[in-house]
Amino acid sequence: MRNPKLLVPLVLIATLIAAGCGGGGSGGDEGGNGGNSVRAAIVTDVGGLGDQSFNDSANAGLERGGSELGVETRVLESQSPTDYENNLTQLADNGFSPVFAVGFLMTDAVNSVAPQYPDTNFAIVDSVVEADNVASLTFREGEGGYLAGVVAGLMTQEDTEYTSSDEKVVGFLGGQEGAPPVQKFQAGYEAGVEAVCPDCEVIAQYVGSTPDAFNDPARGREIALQQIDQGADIIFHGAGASGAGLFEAAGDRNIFAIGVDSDQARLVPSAPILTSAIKRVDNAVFQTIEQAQNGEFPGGQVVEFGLEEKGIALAPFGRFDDQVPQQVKDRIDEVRQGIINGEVEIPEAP
Amino acid sequence: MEETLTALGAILASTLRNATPLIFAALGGMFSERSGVVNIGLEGLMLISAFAGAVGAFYSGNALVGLATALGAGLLFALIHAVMCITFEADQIISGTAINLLALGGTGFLMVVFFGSGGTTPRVASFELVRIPGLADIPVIGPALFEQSLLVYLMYFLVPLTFFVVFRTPFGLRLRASGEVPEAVDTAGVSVTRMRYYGVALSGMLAALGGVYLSMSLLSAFTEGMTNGRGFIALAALIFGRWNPIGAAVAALLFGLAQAVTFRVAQDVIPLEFVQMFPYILTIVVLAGFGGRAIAPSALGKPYRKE
Repeated sequence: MRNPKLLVPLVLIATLIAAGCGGGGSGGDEGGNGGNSVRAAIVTDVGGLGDQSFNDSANAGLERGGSELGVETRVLESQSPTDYENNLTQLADNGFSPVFAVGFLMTDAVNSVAPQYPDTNFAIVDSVVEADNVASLTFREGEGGYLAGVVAGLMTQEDTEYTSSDEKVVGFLGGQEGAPPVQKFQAGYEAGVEAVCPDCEVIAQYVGSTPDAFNDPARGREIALQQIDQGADIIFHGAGASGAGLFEAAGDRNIFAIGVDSDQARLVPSAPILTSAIKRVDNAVFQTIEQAQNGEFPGGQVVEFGLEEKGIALAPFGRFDDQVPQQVKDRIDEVRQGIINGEVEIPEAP
Repeated sequence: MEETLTALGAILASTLRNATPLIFAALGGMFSERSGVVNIGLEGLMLISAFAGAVGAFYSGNALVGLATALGAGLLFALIHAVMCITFEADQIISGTAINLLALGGTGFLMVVFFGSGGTTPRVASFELVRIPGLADIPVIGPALFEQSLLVYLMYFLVPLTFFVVFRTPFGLRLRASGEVPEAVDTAGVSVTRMRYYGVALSGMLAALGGVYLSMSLLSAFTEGMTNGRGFIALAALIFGRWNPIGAAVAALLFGLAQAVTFRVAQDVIPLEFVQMFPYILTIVVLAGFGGRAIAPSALGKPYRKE
């Protein structure tokens, strides 16, 4: 085969097939029991399944809907931002409703698809879309960030195997600059540190300014190392997969990391992860499916999940429980109750 | 004063860590482009090797086995590029793009095959920091330069070695001639095809070292898409360094320094976007001919067909 003109398209086709296979199209587990009309589906953002973060969490909520409520479920993964609209449209065409768009990156896609399918219910996680058939599921990340900040601000003043009271410096590692959920985490975190340690310094840095910033652990590690060099002994992240870099840096330099979205200490047991600011996307998805099944889909509403609604939580200290003094634990409980009672003011932007 | 020195040492160490993967890939790009084959697939070669290394290290529990699988994968995919571009005379840009796409989709697919889901692999064996006694005790620069991963020491060694091989050996002369005047190489009885295969194969293995440094030295796990444009920045370093190994290394260090400084100072002082565009702006400036024009090997990108 001397003809290069033939070979190039062949290889390109093979490439495209491989690219299409990249994690795509998995899922499709049918949990239907026939007698039920609700067919729920999620579309992941580019993070995809396996992100150990909100996509996985949303999928867990969907699967729970499948097993506990007997609804038919499907997952479509997005390989690139151009897949968002196609995936949403495809599910709507196939009669799925509610269709969950997971992540604020899909805001524009939901905005343009939802009006074309007025009979389909959509739900968007982490963003607000104003349409009668769209439920906006948002989280008060600030509350989780605030609790993480209280933990960091108190623990940096303690002498433990991982922290020293010498320097009152704590860090924040963000993923994409300007991403609303991350900003809310940061704002809450800074306020939480300030509340318990007014002379503490918070070093806040972002990995990048594009969605790729959630996928660059090497850069995440580098930022964490620089923060540690400046005295930080606890670093909280909202950086998706880039947070893996923080965990490595924390392990190498013996400092505490605070995880995000899910209980990351259980996902990465080797790293010194003190706790995590958990976002129960699974609860939000499950609750919305349940409402849809009961004919109470919250279309056109913004549904907020916070500490009170069990949409936000602080993970248990796990293997580091004995490093945390009782008065610190008491203070955290106090603050948690204060937030639920509405006594704590948490800023929305850093 | 002491604090400033400590900060300088930390920035230097960070610069090296940022630059090392770029230097490996840029050296690789140099071998390929000096022989006359454009290799914009460096990004993909790094990504595939980072993944192959993590898989090898995961199943063997040994970083050296991971290094071997990564070098093998880098070589294999570079040879695909070589077959396409040299033997079948396909468009080199298209072939390189195909390698990049294949790497992104292929590793995502294989993540599911090997580890059950995408995202990030479990922790794998990686190269530990090696402290060189004596040298590491030099104040400020000692810990930055001589308390690094084995791969960084390999990089110190490879930059001058590459320079020597390319500019001071018969092999280097033939390689460079294949990229400048392939007819002359042919007339001298040396196979242009073979020289170009060597160049592309070396580029695959050097890019593999860059990938391994990411997944098994800086980190000890593979994350999908973790190269995040470093292969392209390495190309920028190669051009900015005027296809010279020392120049490319200096350029990569400059890019690494820019990044280290951005991470050090508050990000409202230097915007993140600045450091992201920095390598490309410099490359455009150099290509536009400021401060002495950068001239690519003259037969770069042109398939050679024996008369």
